[in-house]
Amino acid sequence: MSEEQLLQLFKEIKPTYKVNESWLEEQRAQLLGAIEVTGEHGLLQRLAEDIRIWWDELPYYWASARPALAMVSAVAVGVLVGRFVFTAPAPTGLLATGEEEAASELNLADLIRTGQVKGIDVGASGDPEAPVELNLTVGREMKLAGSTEREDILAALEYVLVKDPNPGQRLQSAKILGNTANLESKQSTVMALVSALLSDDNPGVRLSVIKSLTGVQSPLAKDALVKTVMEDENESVRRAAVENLAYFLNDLSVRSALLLVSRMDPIENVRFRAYQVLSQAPDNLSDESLDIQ
Amino acid sequence: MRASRVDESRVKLIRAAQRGDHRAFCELVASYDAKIMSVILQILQNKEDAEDIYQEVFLKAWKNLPAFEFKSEFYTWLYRIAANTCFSYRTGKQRHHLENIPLDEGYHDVYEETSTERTDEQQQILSAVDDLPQKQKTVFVMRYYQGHKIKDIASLLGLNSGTVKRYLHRATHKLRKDMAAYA
Repeated sequence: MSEEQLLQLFKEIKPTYKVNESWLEEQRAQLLGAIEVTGEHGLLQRLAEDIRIWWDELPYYWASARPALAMVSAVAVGVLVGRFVFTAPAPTGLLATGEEEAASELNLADLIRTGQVKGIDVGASGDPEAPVELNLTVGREMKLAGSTEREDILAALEYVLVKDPNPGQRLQSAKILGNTANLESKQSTVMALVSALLSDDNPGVRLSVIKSLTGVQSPLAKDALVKTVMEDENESVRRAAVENLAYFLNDLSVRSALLLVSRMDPIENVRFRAYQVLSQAPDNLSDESLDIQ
Repeated sequence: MRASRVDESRVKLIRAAQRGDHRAFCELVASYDAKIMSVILQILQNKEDAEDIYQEVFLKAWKNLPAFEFKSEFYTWLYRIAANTCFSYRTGKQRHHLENIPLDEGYHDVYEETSTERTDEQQQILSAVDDLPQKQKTVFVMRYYQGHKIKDIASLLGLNSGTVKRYLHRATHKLRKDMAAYA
């Protein structure tokens, strides 16, 4: 088959796709949360560019009649080199040993409760099977790695989800917490997720929390989802909450909420999905009072 | 006149995003993501990969936005990122094609196919294309689905034309072999 024939053949049979707008909305919300993880974009590029320009011009400073500027440059180089070459000795006090094992032995949950943890960064490996990696600032910077089977790791992730000012970090924690084995039995984790669902201002984080709560059949999760479908300002979040309520169709309050959403939500897509989920209710639960059929 | 106003507002958005405005960037993404994803989906017809690659492509765009110098259309620049991401992408371990996913498994259907119906033979050809190794498939789709010239594919993927031709040759050779097996 010639090149022209191949082009003609695939022109006729190639698949074309229309991407679902609701799916795109979800992805945009997640992206908005995730770009916070990357920090200020281009900072490194700009810094590198500034250094390059400065480096190119350095000989002229030395050669020109600007010795003061040259001196300042030299001092700046010295400071920069010193900053990266020499590291400060570990401070004494809390976690002074600075080893991973030392962090593991600590009761991290206690440290968090007593306010001794100044910050936690959650590593983003993207692999749910990989151990969770945490960089802790407890007097000094520490590293901690392990699975969510460990209570201290869970406590740290819950702390990040509820307290961290960076939505990217919160998003990452919510995702990891969602992969926790037997999530339903871990009350404090479910509470942290529910709390984030009801109070986080970032729709990407709320969306991630809803995904993490999928299948968790606690009354707490149910009530939070009901509140979300009725009140959340973001349609992707409301729609995701509608999906999760499919696990609670035995509950009258859930069916009532879904009925209301299927009739009153301002977004057609959400209304339609609520209607679809509601119609999955077993026939014996088709409430006369709700008149859903 | 209208087109130039659109361009002007887009340039403003790009510049705002380059200065670190997240909302401006998301607004930009919203104008291009459907088109970019439909192109990507021709290469990866896979729900899970679609989500991963959406985030990967647009996060790369965010990180590299300061390097965008308005020398090409913004769409072309995004397309280049998307094509390169597909080219080096490792597909998920468990491939779930959309048709096999029950409605309740995901929040949304990621996409719907808008192409016309095909004969069994045509469907087999497309399945054979889908089974190509990722790099060969990316180049093949860019050439025969999307109609790019070889030198443009080479330029977009940062390869030389000889390498692109080699990928295409291997892909068509494998397709012929697969089709012979079907027959």
